[in-house]
Amino acid sequence: MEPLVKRDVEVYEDVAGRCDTADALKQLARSDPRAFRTIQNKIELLRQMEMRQALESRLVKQPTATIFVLRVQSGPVSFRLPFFESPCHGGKLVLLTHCEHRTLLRGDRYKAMVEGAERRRQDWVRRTCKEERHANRRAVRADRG
Amino acid sequence: MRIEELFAQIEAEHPEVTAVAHEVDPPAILALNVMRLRAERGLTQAQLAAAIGVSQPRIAGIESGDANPRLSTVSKLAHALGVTLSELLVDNLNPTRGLPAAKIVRDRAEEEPRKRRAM
Repeated sequence: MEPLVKRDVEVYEDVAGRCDTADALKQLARSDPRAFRTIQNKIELLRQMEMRQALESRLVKQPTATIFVLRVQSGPVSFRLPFFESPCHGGKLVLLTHCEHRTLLRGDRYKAMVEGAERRRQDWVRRTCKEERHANRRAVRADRG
Repeated sequence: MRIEELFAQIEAEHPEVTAVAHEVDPPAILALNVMRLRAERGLTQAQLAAAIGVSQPRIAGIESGDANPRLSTVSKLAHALGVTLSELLVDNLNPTRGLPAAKIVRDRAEEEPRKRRAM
């Protein structure tokens, strides 16, 4: 028996601890519980998949080298959730922005969403992976000492 | 914030989310269960596909939640994975206990005398 390994997923928080992704999901749970549940199922599915498999399916698209977009359809409404794979933390997935309705993402707005996601990715990596590097250095020093 | 914590918080604040679980996206629920059970049994997609007589991409489609397979295919999957049909379709994020139909009948039965009294 080989238990399924689920990837860690977290939602992006800015430096002040604000988390608009969480706020948007809470709002959606209130206004459209079915859509929220569908998004929850798709995130669970994504956690269990290899990225290659997710990209081969219609679940995920990769608009840039670093940003992925989770695609969710709930009835007539489509959601797009940009995320990335952390270069540290064992490939943890980080959801970057709140759920965007696809209808609002025509033309330049899709590009703007991806650019915004990239800015958030860089911010997260700079803050979070740096901390991990320092923690590793401290651990190495402690081992030597 | 970890996604499990966020979902737990939302489910506690909005019980309506768990109430609609059974209505939502059966292919995704099937995908989650097939993927988990296949991993637990140490099978590859190709091996599972061979066991039920379909192609490997068909299993990949089911596991990605894209496919909406026939009941006969789901039944073969359940047999190959050694579970019942219902185990394959149960939403493990929110396993529903009891029979919803029985609850509806019970609620109606409770409602009837109240209606008669009101008349």
